[in-house]
Amino acid sequence: MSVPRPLESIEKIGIVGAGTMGSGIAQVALMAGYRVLLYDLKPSQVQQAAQIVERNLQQAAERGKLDPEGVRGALERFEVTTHFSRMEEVDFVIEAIIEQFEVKQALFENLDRTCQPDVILASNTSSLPITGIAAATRRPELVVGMHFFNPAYAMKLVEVVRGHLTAPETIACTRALAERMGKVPVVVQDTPGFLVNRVARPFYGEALRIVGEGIATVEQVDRLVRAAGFRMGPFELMDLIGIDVNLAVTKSVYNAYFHEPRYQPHLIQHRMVQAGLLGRKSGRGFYTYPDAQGEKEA
Amino acid sequence: MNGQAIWVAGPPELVLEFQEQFPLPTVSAPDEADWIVVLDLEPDALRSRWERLPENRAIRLVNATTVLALECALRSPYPDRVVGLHLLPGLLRLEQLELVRTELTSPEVEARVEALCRGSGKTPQWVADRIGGVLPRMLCALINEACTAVQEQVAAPEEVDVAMELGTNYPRGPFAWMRQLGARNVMTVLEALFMDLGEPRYRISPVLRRYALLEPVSQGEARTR
Repeated sequence: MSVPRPLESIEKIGIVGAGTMGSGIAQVALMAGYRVLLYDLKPSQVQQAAQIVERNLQQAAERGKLDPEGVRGALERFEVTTHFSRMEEVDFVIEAIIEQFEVKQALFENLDRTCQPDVILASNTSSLPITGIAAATRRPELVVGMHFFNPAYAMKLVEVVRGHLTAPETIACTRALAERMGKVPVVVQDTPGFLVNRVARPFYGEALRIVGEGIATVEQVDRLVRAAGFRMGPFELMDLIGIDVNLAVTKSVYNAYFHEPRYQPHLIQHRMVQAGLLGRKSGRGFYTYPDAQGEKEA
Repeated sequence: MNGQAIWVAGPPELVLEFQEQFPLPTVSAPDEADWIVVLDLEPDALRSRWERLPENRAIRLVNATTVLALECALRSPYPDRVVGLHLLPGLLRLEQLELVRTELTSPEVEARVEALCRGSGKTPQWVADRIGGVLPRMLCALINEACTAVQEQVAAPEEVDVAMELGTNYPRGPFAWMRQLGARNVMTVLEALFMDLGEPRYRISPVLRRYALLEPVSQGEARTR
């Protein structure tokens, strides 16, 4: 069983997947002083991500989170690539690709072959089992969940997910790395939805049932929930997240829990997805958004 | 009777909260009251208090979180003069208030209850007469799910609170909510939901049950036990 590379010798972090989460995590790692190698299959994706990271670092400087010298340094430590073999250079990997189990397994098999044997392979998955992903490698003890929340630079929480075979040293190192990145790590077990997405299920599920049973309207539920101190009501939040995305998470937790009735998806959501009413991004969800970026109609 | 004299009964913390939010002249006996307010959450306590109320024309407000407002209305001398509220400790302090009318509530009584709310700076939200209402049902289900996660050793209670506050922008974590609402109260609401709907989703987590057992009993409650 291999022991992970010690935290002190971690300098370069490899990030696989240059989408929203990958770019966000890259920014966080750069701002914490790490070297970052951001990989994606598509050249257009890495170029776009490079621009986004640069722009976000400038914005961080404008907000006083970084001085101009800091921006320059971060950009010097930042590289993007479309050559997977370069993952052999990195000291720690964070994967942030599409949420598909088979795709992630195939990637981890490749990472296992390419990366140095003492490198921790972390997945930013929000819903897939770490134990299953780890099973595709010969180093399950070095595979861990490192679940950042969107937007990664703003949200403080990182769920550090302990797979069935994850070594305590791997957990300790990942937790410490998250802290060095300015995050608050919480170690959780490898159960469906981990902690946050699982505990949040009733926030949406009960709200959907309350509306579905005609107890209150969408607007009333949101108003009451906001009055209780929540920043957003469940329906405006589902519109923001995307009703399709929210439904997918619910289905994933429901299926992974062998159809535990508490997590049962609601027909309202299912019908809305069928009708193409996906929330803000489609212009209409539980509320109507006259222009794509606009505020919801009163 | 168009006066504002009020008689409030129920768990001490809810009574205090009501008096603080609706500072009206109080009377010591329900017979003299223009408003009778019964805030018990525990169904047996509520029913037994309700049965003992005098046969006057006071408008009756009842905590309809675990007992239907309709049941209370039908056990009143004037069923048209009963309106429900959905309440747990702390919820009366919110700017929005869940109100419940029944099939029998008169428009005049509705208007007077609404005026009472607005007079105290609250926006009434008329929701259906259903066990748990909106906020009690959502918050109790959330707390129960957090307890279930702790039971399954996903994380410790303090970590659940940290994670929910930092990962979702909840104003406080589920265990902090539980302390505000009271673990026994949360259990009472879940029991009522489970009885009403018969769905396993409202099955009480053993962790919640232990919190409820360990919860200190307040002075006022101890006397009535």
